[in-house]
Amino acid sequence: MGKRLIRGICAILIAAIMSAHTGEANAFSNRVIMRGDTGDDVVELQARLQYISYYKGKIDGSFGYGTYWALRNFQSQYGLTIDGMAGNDTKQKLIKATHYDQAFVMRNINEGNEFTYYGGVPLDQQVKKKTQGSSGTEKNASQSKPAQGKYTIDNLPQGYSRSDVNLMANAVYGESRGEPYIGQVAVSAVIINRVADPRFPNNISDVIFQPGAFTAVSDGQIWLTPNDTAKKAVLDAINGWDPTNGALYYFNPDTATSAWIWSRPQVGKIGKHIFCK
Amino acid sequence: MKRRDWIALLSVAVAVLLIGIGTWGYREYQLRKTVMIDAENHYQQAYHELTYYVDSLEESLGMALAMQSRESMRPQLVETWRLSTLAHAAANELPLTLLPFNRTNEFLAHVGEFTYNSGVKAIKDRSLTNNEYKNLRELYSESQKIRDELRSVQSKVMAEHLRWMDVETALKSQNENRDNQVIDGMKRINMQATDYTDSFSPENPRNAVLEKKRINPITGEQISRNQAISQLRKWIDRPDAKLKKISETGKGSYIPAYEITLSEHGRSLNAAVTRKGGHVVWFLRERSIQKEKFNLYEASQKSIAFLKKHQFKDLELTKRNKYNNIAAFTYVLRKKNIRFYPASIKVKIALDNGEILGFDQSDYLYNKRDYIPMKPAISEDEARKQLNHDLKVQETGLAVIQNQSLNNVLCYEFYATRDNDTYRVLLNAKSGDQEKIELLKE
Repeated sequence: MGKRLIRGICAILIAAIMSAHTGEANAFSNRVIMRGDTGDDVVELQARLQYISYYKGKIDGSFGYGTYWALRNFQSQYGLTIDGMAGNDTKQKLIKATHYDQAFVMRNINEGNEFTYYGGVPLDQQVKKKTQGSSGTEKNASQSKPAQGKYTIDNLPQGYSRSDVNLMANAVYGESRGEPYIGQVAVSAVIINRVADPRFPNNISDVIFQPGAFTAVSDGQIWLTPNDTAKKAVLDAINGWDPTNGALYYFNPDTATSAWIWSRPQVGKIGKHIFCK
Repeated sequence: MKRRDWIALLSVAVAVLLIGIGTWGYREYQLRKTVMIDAENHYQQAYHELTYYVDSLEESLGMALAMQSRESMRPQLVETWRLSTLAHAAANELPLTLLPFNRTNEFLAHVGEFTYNSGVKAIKDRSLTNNEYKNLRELYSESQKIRDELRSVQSKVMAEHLRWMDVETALKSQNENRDNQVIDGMKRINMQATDYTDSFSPENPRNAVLEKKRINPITGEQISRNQAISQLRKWIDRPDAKLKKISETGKGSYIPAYEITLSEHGRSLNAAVTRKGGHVVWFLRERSIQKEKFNLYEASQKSIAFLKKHQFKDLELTKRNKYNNIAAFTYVLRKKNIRFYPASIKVKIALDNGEILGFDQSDYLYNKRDYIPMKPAISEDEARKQLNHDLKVQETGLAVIQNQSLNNVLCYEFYATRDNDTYRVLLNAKSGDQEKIELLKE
């Protein structure tokens, strides 16, 4: 982490010196930036938009809706095509209209300071330094550390929380860790289908913990630590892939004891499980 | 002498062991009993709560029927809505194992939906339609039946000291014809609610029978297994991919299809191809993703090229998600400047080499999208009046969405901001009702 930070600062310094040489800070890469992106290009975009007061949110390197509207408003004011994407024309117009102090912005991001970057306001008035040294703040500092220099956009599909995904991964891993990947996506899809179905609870945790609903919950296997495959399968299912055609139940034909489950209309067999409605 | 000592010693040891095991066993037994009682109490509580809430729900529905206008009925409808949620939650705490409270739950969901739509969502003081009033009456009489059954099971349970834990054991054991009062009681309730749901068609879109009717007719000819395989190979542009498995979907699937697993360079690819017409409904590749080389825009260009290649037209990118070096894009149909949210296609791209990892057009293919009035009945300004004045509208348009009752409705779609928050508000373009409001997180 330390090394990376030093390296980062070096890179910034070099970049700053170089831009000072050419006289024009042209740090944008020539890639088109769009909503959903993260990274240094986004930081620059946000900072430049804030410089001319279009963007009032946090400069955090995550291209969310706030940045999107700011960019669209900029595009409409400057007679550009309003598409909410930062292509070449938009970037050139932005560079002409604004000034970007990369060293200042990147330093504050890396230090985790609260700061703004409005043009015409002295820079030292725009930083709220993180108070360090005083008791009790140490914990906060360590908490915010992972955010430094690493831009995350919480890109979970609307309506799902991080803990929903984790809980589902646990259940899927406990239920079907020996199954092929597609079988794990199918089990995740069943959980989601149950949430959508009026006959079942309407949220992830209630569906999973409904008494008798999943054997992994009854025998405690849900508390095993899931692997990445299970997590990936859950995300695929949440993003809409449903290999089960809307199935609500599944069972292992070798061990299933009830006649009832066999009476359900079956969709198909994936791995060891038969999926049905 | 020696031998006798040995025997004495041994018998003492055995005695100590026996006492030890006995004590331990008794302790375990006690512990188990406590846990069992706890579990039993939990089930009992859930069941009694369920009966109580259904009781109050029936009463509340009855009181609603006494009122004339929507405005005067609203408090009762809202109360019923609240009770249906509570009853639903209690029902879901009871053992599901293979004999679910499915139908009871379905009934509760209908009550919830109906009371929400007519009591909470409906704006203005539009008077209740005849149909709504009829539905309300039906729900009321149904709630009485369900309440009576729940009550009779309850009294049986109390009188004969039946235990829910026994139900669970009975359900788990294969012996299904065991005489179990609780199970019998539950079965009867479920049967009745079945009759009810079958008769309750207009507001019951989630009913499986009706769901089928909502499916777009699939065009094309019936194809064989081999045709399906070659169709898939052509579609993913991998003529050399080996077949690992092919099977037909059962009668539970929306549309009869082939489920195919191919292997390409040792990785497997799963897909579904419809038996009629040979449409590739979805496919999914699984592999580990290396370092990110493509950014989101470049990935989106890849997905557009892929969709173009397969002759998809008039699509608009509406959602993008980036996670674990993967980009997932959702496209929706846009015709005559109206977005058709129910007709959506998803494409998943690996950001290390730009490969298409997944594709899904089930919504696009299956969701019915005709019979929607394309002319709004109220003007945009009229709809806009409902928004808070603090909201700054950034974008406006017309869109078709599938609402909570799974009906396609034409809406005004407003993207609006307040401070740093972005909202999406969907207002019914016919009645002005609020269909959906979202606080966008992306």
